Amino acid sequence: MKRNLILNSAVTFCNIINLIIILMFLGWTFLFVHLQIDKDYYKNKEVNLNNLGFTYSLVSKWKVNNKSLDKDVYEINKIKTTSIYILYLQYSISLILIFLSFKEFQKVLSSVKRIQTFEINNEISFRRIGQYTFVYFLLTSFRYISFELGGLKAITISLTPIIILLLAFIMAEIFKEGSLLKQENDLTI
Amino acid sequence: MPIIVNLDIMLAKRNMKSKNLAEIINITTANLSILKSGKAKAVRFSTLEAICKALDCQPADILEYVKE
Repeated sequence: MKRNLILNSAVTFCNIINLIIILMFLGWTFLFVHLQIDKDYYKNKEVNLNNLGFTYSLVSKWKVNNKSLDKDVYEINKIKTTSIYILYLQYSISLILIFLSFKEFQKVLSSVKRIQTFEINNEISFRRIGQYTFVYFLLTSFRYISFELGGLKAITISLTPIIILLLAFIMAEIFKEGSLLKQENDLTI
Repeated sequence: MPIIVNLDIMLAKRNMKSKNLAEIINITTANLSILKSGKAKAVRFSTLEAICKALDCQPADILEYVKE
C-alpha cells in the first residue's frame, strides 16, 4: 500500500511537471510571437545570461560601438529575427526533450506499479532518457544571440544534465541485468 | 547449448503424451514445451525428480551432453 502511495505520488508529480512544461512551451511560443509583433514592449529589458546552479559559463560580448552602454545594446527588443528563431527552436526542443523524458519515466513507474519491473522496456526507457538528456545538454551548452548593435555568445557546461545522463545510463544497465535475471528465472523449469 | 533434452524420446518410449506428463509433474504445458524445445536455461532438481518418477527413468535418459 505504501509502495503504491509513493508510486502514485511520483506519477502525479510527473503529470504536474508535464503540465508545467506544456504551459512553459505555450508561454515561450507566446513570447516568441509577441516579441515580433510588439518589440517596443521589451524596451529596456536587458538579456541576462547569468545562470544559477552547477554551471560553468564562458560569455563573450561584442558591440558595434564600444562606447554604447550594455543596457542599450543587449535589449530584448533589439534581438535580430534570426536569433529569435534560433532561440525559440533551442528552447522549444529543450522543453520537448524534458517532456519526453518525464513521459519515459512515467512509463517506468507504471510498469513498476503493474509489478513488471524488470522488463526490457524499462531499460529502453532509461536509455532514451539518457539520450534525450544528452541532446538537451548539447542544446543548452551554447548560446548565440545577435543584436542590432552587437551580440553575445556563451558556452555553458551544466553539470545537472551530465549527472542525470549518467544516472539514466546506470539505471538502464541495472534494469538490463534485472531483465536478464528475470528471463533466466522465467526459463527455469 | 551442448545439453540436449531427450524428453520427446522418453515420452515416445513410455507412450505418454506431453499433456499427461505436465499434469503428473504439476507444471504447465507451456513450461514443458520450453523444456522439450531446449529453450530452458535451468531445470530444478524437484522437476527432474518428478519427471524421472513419472517416466520411470534416470536423469541421464533425459539429459545428454553433446560437444559443440
